[in-house]
Amino acid sequence: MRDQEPQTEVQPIPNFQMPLSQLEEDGHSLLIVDLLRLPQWFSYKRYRLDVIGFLVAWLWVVLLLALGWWVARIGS
Amino acid sequence: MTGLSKLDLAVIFTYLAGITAFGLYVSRRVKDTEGYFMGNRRFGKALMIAQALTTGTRADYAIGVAGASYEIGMAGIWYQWMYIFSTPFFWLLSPIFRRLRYTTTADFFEERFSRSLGFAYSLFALYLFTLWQGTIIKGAALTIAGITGLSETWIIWGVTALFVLFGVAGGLIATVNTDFIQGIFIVILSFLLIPFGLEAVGGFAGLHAKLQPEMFSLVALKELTPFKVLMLVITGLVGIVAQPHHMAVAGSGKSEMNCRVGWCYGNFIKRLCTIGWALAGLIAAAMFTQGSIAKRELVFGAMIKQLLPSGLVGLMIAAILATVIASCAAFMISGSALFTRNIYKKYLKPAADDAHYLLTGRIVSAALTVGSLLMALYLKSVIDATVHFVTIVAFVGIPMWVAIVWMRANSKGAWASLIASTAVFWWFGVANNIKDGRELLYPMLAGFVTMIAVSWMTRPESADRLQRFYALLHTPVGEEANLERVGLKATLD
Repeated sequence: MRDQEPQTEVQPIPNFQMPLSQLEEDGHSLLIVDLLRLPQWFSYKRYRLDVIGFLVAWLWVVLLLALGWWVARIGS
Repeated sequence: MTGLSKLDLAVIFTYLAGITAFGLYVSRRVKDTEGYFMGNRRFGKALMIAQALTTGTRADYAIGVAGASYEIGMAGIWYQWMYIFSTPFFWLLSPIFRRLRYTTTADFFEERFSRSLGFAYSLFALYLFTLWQGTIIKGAALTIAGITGLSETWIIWGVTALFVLFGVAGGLIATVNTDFIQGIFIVILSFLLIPFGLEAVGGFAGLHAKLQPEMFSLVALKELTPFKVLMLVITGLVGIVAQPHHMAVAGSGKSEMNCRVGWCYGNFIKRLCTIGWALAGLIAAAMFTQGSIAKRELVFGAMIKQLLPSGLVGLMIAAILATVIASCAAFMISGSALFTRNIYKKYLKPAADDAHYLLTGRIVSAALTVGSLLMALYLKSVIDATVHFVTIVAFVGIPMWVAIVWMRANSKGAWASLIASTAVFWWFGVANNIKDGRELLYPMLAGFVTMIAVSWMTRPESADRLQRFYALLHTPVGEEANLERVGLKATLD
């Protein structure tokens, strides 16, 4: 188990235990959930699924935009 | 009387009879509330894609985009493509919804913040469901009335009766299991008009010859300016987490991968369909001179009537009905889940058995639909209703995003954020009637700043509440033993 580190704000976040997941260590950790801790925590191995899927999804966005642009120009 | 041929009528009735019989057949498998509301969280990738496509793809979207493109050109596509840049985030968000193991989005607010916020969200979501269903029914009725000449009011009643029968009987299992069929109909809806329309206007070359070049630009100089589009994109992304049906759409898969693929790629198919709707609008602009049709949202029906041969008109009406049934049934079920679990069970009758709650859910489904039926009768425009929805749902999305990312976020910050963003929107969007995008930007800024500032200045949520929420987010489904090791249960009480 890993302990949640005490914070330094005016009203500190209470200390509590967090479960440790092997799946998370093996690539299933979530980028959005860990967003504020990414500078210390990020590794490709830990966020593999999020990183690959997110990048591939952006490729689809580019493809769709290109398709929309192309359809509007057919026959011009 | 209906303006439809016997072949058209046969296509429609065969479709309706088939889909209703199937809904009733699969309803025999629905034994409890978990099955009714969340489909027992056992959907595979294909069903998840179909569910995301059909709940997110509606006839009123096609009607709205085609109508806007008829008037302002290809840029009308942004009324739906406002979500194109949000779609990659669906990949990241869907496992969050699944790991939280909640049935409704109100559970999120109650578990992360407070009971009062959960209750408030439930009321807000019931309004959204009613508004959304009303918009869907309105859009479909406008089109079908335009094709058949039948009374719009009678069509509204008929369509409503159909999806109530379908949704109340079968719940989410029935809806999702027929989504395969509905998905095919939606693609048909999107592309059926195009070949006939292109033939009528002389192909793509004829289209370009008949329209001004600016009609083919993805950037409009009026109505949907680049700044307004940018604001719609950001608003769409902020609000996407708070859309009330997304807990079921994104979280009911058999695995995290099924949830990711389903929600993300179901929506990419929808973005593809949107190109077809915009192109249909351009074709309409070449066919009908501006002003010759009373309202721009009638062009879709006008094209169907003028372009399609007998039989295909019936198929198009069946396709429109398919999207109405799929979307409304899913919203109706999500709405009844919200009321039953987050209001009725918690505040009115806490100790009843599951069969009682299942019956309550079904009754509420029907009651919600009566509300949406009234909404359909009074709504003015499909596009106005859509933009209104996108705007207000973003206010609720702000506390959700901050709560997931920042442990320090608390219920006081969430309340302050909701009040601030609503007040700022009222000032700019309602009192001063600003529509250029600033009415979207300022409320969001106010919401985020207030959420962070008030949370920072006040006490954080209790350790128990925070531990439970973030422990769930770090525990994939199937690893519940890890939760028990730190003294937590996976299910809500």
